[in-house]
Amino acid sequence: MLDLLRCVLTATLLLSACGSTGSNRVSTVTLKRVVDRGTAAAPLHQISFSWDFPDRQEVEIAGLGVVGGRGMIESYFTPAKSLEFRDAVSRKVLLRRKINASGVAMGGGNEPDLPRESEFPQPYRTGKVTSPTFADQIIAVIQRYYPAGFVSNTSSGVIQYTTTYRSLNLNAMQFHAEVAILIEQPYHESSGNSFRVRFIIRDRPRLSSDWRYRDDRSSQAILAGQAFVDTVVQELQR
Amino acid sequence: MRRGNVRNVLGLTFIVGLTLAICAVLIAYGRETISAKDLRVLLVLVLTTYGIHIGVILGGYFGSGKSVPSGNAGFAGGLAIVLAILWNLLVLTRLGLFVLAVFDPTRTDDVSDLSTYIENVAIASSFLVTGALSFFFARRAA
Repeated sequence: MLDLLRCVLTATLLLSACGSTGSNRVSTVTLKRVVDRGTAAAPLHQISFSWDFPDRQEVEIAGLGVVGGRGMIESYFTPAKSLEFRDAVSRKVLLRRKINASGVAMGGGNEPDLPRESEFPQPYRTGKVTSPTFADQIIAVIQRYYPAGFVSNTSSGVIQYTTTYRSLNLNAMQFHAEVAILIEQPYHESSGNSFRVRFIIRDRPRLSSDWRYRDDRSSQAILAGQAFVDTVVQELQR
Repeated sequence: MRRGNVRNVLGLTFIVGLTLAICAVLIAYGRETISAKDLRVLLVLVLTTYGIHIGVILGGYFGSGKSVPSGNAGFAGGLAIVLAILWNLLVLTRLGLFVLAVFDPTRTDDVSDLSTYIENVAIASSFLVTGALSFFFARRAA
């Protein structure tokens, strides 16, 4: 037990990156867990990390957006080889932390169930961005509802946060339904800064092996999924 | 037991087995525990699995014309019936467990496990009945 504690402590210390941001207070980025979840052709890391930039209100994490100076992400999937923290305004790199896989996910089915952007249907919900560190709000909501994790990428200046699937609460014993969301921000409508949420609702009968994605889904699953997405949009605007 | 009677018992065993297997799949679909696609897949699988043997049986009945085999089947007849029942039990027991899962949400099971079992076990165990069915249905009456 002591050996295990010593090992964890040593790993945490070794993985901690320290950098100076121009004052005496030290900025730190701590990689708590790195698990290899990809394949040789498409590497993907599942990481858990925290950051603390005591002298800054905001920092930008490459691919994730502008967040508060201090925070933590429990489960984030990234194909990147390093985590990069930048100044939120000048975008100058403040700190870069290399990601080295320290473990492999147990059991088969190593890759997470992350839908591709092209798999999300066109219908969406929109909302107004309410904070300059809106990425913090997105990350908080995603972590609350999707503890299994999420991935993010930037395309044409738009950051896309894609989650894994989570179960929907249904009163039906014979069905199982799940929903995954894709939050795109900024999403510019006619006026103002806004975000949009696209979603995939899928269900399957209890003893079935295949998920249903189209018109053959139960209406109960579709309604529950839409209600859940509405809740997410509301929480993102708080 | 006379050869004609053995043929009848064998034929009945497989027809009843097929009927029960189809009923099991329809019950699962009727209770909305499998999808329409699963229903299609499982019915085709059950029909294919039983179709090989029932094809031989029907061929024996309709292909032999009026020449119904006579004589005592002896030990071979009893053995053929036991093996036919054993083969059907291998398939139907698994389907029965699937039906139990239909009615009991605490039991875990799924269509792909069931399909894999039927495909593998039914094919691997077909040696139990192919010889006997050929003997009683495909062989011309002496």
